[in-house]
Amino acid sequence: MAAPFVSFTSKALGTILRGQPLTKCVFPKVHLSVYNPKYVEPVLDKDTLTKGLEDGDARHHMPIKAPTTDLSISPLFYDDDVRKFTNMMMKTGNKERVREITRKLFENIKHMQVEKYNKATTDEERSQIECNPITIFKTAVENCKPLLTNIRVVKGGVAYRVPVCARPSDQRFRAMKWIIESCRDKERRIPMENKLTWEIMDAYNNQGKAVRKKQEVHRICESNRAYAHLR
Amino acid sequence: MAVLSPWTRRMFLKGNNMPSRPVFTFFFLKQNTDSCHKHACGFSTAPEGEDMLLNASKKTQNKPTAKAVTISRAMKAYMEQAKAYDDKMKAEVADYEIGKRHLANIMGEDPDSFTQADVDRAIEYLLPSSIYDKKARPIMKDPYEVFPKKKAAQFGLDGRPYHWMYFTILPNYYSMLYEITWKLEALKEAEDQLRAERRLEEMEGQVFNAASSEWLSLHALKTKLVENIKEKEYNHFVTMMERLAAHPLSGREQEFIMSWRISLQAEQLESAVQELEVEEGGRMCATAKGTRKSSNAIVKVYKPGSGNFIINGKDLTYFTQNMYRETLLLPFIVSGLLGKVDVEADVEMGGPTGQAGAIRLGLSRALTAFVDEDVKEKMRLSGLLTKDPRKKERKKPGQEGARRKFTWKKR
Repeated sequence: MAAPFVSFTSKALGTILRGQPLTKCVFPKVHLSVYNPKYVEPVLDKDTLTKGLEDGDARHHMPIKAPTTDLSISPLFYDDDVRKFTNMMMKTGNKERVREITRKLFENIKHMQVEKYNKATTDEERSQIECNPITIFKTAVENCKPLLTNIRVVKGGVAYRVPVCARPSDQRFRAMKWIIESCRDKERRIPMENKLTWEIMDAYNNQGKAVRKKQEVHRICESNRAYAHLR
Repeated sequence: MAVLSPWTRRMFLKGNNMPSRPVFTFFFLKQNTDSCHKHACGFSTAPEGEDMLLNASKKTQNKPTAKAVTISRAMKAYMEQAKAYDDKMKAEVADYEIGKRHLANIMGEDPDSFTQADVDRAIEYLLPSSIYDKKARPIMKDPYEVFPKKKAAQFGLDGRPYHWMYFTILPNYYSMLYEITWKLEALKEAEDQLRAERRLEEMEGQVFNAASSEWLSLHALKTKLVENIKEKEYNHFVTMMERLAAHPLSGREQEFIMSWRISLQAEQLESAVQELEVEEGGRMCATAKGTRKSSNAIVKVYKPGSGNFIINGKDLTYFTQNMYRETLLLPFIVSGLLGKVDVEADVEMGGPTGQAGAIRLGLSRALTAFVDEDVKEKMRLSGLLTKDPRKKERKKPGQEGARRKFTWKKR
């Protein structure tokens, strides 16, 4: 592992020492993965796997990376968004604890919704109530996803906040981060799963801190729309 | 040696398993043997890369002359070197043999049937070392493995080189470049012809597929050519080869190109081959090994079964966390054998993550014995047959950990 670092620094230094201006000094991309760069990500999608890849797909000839321990395609136990959310919540690698929190969170939501369902009097009301906690969670995250983000562009010594389209992965990350952060700010005595339950139910109804955060980002983008051409 | 009949001599000289000791008496036979030059003066076997050059060198051989043989100064110097090398190696081999017998006696084993594997085991036991780099730990190997081989003489008794590119210093390397160029020219000619005859559709799908392999590394190329190649020359090799591989008809030179490439899928495909054993009662059993981090697992899969899972004598509750149980589920979902087989796994070392990963790899490998090619390909695509090469990265001196640096203090 030390090798790429060494070659990286010596190469970069060499470039600098040869008297090129620093702005033009292009750093070589450092490959820090243990895998050979030829390895590609595994196909972990149930539909694609059952259907099979097309004949011309290059992955038929490429070496594949091994899936990590927490990856799966089980429709019962596994959901990619939930995995991401759990991992983002984790502190100092204590995965057992966050998985327990996630489990309790879904349990709480389920209890809450079933209670509402049972209290409802008419069929029409009942059909409005969503009882699947995973669906509620996904909708909540969807509601918090920003369409735009700001990037910082320095032009003529002045830093501009330039609005750009957010990538899907970035959208998901922001939404989840805001949900988690808004819960961390709240009262410390209350267990995380309870705070999350409220926050997610709020976001499900398009309310709450995380949704407000999204709207605020949109507002900043709106006010800076004049700089949009700078990106 | 000098009195061998011509027939025996030829047989002896053509054989690939030439003795590695020098046979200097051959020099007297030089005038009536044509094909022997390459090997006759050698004190190590000729490298692979030279085989292709053999034909070229034969033509340039000197015709037998009536003159008395005069040995050139270069040849004399070479012979002296060769003799010194051989004497050294003889002494080393003798030392090694005695050392091996001593070692066998120390270990209380039979000295006559003491193999290299036993030597390695004994050294590891007697001289335990915690040095991180395995190459830096004590070893005792065959001297021919330890001391680098030397190239056989590249010139005849009169000092004339065999190889037409001898004076380029890197004859094997440059003749390889020549070969690439000529092959590329031939392909271009073929392409031109196809174009002229308006048979363009024949050219489709004839490109070399580079996805599953990569060029030999600099080190591998050095070993293959037995020449000290620098990075600049290696880059030149890659450029030339890529030019050849990018030609629309490069598929025709598949064999040549692949001889300079290394397959990346070999590990995955090799591990996918599992032997089936039939037990009493018609029950079939496949065994495979798996590793992950520092854990090792041996997994046995029985078919038909009812979905029983035994790990180190316990059931799935061996893993207290659900995540690890779900990890073990993945190979079954992909192969579609959930509930149809019984599994017995023995796993040691490491923590739960490593152990679960080791069992998953062993399980996937063993399951391939029961599925058809399509499913096997699916398992490969989902990465189940790949060994996860990631390991704990070592701590570095002057740093707090593998990557983390100490807090910076001005003084």
